[in-house]
Amino acid sequence: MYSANASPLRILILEDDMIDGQQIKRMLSRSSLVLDRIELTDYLENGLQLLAVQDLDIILLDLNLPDSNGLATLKSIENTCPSVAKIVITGEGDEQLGLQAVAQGAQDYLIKGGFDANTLIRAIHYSLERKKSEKALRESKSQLDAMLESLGDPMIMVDKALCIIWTNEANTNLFGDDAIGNQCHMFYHDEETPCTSESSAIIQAFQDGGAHSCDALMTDKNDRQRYFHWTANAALRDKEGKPTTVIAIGRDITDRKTAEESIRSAYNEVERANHELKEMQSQVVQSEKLASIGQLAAGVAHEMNTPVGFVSCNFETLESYLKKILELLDMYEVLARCVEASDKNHRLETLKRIKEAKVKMRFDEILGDLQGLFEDSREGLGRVTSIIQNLRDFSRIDQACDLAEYNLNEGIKTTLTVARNEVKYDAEVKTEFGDVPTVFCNAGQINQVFLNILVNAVQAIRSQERETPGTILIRTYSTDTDVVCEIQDNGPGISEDKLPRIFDPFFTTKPAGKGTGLGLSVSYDIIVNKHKGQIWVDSNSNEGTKFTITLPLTVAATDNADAESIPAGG
Amino acid sequence: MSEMKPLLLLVDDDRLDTLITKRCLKELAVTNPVVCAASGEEAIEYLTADSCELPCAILLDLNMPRMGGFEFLEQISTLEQFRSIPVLILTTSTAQEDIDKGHTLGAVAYIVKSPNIVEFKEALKCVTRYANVAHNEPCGMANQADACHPMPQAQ
Repeated sequence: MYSANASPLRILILEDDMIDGQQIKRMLSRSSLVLDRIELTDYLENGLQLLAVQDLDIILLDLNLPDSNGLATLKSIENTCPSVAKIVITGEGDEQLGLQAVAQGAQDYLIKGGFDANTLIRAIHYSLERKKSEKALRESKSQLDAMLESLGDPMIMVDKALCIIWTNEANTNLFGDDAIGNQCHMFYHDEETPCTSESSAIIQAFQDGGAHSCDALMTDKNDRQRYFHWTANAALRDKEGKPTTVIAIGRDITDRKTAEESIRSAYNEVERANHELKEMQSQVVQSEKLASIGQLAAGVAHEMNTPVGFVSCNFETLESYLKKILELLDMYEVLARCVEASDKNHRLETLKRIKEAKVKMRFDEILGDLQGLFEDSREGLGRVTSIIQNLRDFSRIDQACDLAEYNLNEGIKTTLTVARNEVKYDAEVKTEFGDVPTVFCNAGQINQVFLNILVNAVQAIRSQERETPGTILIRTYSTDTDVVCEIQDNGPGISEDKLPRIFDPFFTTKPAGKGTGLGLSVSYDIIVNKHKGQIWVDSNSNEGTKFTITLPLTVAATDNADAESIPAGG
Repeated sequence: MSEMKPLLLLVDDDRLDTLITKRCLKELAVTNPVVCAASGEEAIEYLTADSCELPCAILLDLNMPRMGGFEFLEQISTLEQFRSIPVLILTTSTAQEDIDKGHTLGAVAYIVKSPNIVEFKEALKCVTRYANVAHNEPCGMANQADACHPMPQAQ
């Protein structure tokens, strides 16, 4: 109700019957209403002019004026000043018109001649109050509308039949203005059938009344493909609480999706590159194997050359001896026939020829040498056999499975024999073999590591062009958990700046063409990745280098040596 | 008859190389008895023994464990009684610096141990020049050395 401190009312009475008008004015003046002023006029046009220049609070409006009639009068007033409260005054029996007026913007109606001051005052109070609420409602609605419209994200309201019943401006701007009345799947996706409940947040919201979201690829009105993240929730519900209307808001996540997509493709690219790298690495490891096999083969060929040459030479000698012996045998054959057939003189003559032949061919020497030739050749063949045996032991080519019992000391011995040719001119190898238990490992691979380190040591010593041979000391021992091998040389050592890089692939200090730069990186892979052991190096410039290799006593090695190994340190 | 011939001292750590050298000498009709030592130390030990019959020539391998050929040469060159024994180097090394060092240290010949036995036998022929000369007889080593050693081509 109007409180005492409410501002004084400004009232316009628009009534062509001046008597009625004056009467109403009188009623108002005598009432308890606090008034500012009361205007009274009889033409709509006059009224409108007044309204144009004055702020008023309420209009008492007779619909039938000289210059306007019926609801049209109300409409004119409503258009001019929608914020002013209006009470329509209709003729007797025109209640229907009064109700229509209320439906079209009036706050109340009074029947001409049928109301007293009290009724009038009450009608004014109600109308003002109603107008006030209406205004508040309109304000909050327009605020809401402004909010929704200013929202950059498209928003729609959908009824149970999935028909779009409302959209905001953003939606219109993005997807076109023909949304209302269309089913959402039809409007957005041009599909006859609704989306599945899995893919549509709107359908999910209808199903359980909760908030749901989904991502959808949509085509906007300019035929651009955009990704939207839609969130849908129940807007209105029926008596049972089931949603009758769902509101959905979409957020354009195209940029995010594109970024995700490019991250994914970048990731795939990295994956692919990584895969290629691994493949390349295994090729590289393979080529390093081939390189060291080549090195080995050259050494072995050299080692075998001498004994094989020696034996074949002896073989020729034996052949010439045999020829002579057969010659003699022939002569004895003749003698044998003489014994049966001819006379004594003939026999003696034949025997003499045999003796002469024996002297000529130095038969005694041949006999004396025969044994020696066989012994010499046996020695030569023995050397070849032992080289082959060492080679077999070194590479364990006859080993059926990858992992087998391995004795560190034996492994080092066979490696040393294989490397003998490479080592013997430059360094003296001393061994201090400790008591080491057998471990399970791939002997060929471990020997390969020893060979790599040994050859490196020898090459380092050789590079010093020193007067006296270098020394390589190999020590083995075991701890509670590992067997350990130390290979120490008194070569030039590794400078501090190179030390951290020696296990890197392709890092080499050897002249171009002399090293692949893979020996130690492959060694690292064999010891650390394939056998779960450790390999490290201690080195001081000019004091030599010490490699330490440990292999765990417990079987921790992977049983598949060719499986992709986890790269060390990432 | 062979007992009359002076000794040859063969210093080589490789048993097979020793056998090969001996066989080649035999085929070259060098019938001198051959005493073998497997290292520089062993050779010194032999030479310095009281009952030693001094060899007419020493065939010396260069690459041996512990005391190598050059060290052996250096050591015996300090000992007056051995200085006149001609030393022939027998080695697989074809390095020019080894050849030079061998001559500097007084070796009379530098014979390359070719894995090809025929070649090796050919190279070994120069031993015959020293085989029948007792160690204390003069033998004009320097000239002969130049003539007999096949100078290997640097590879």
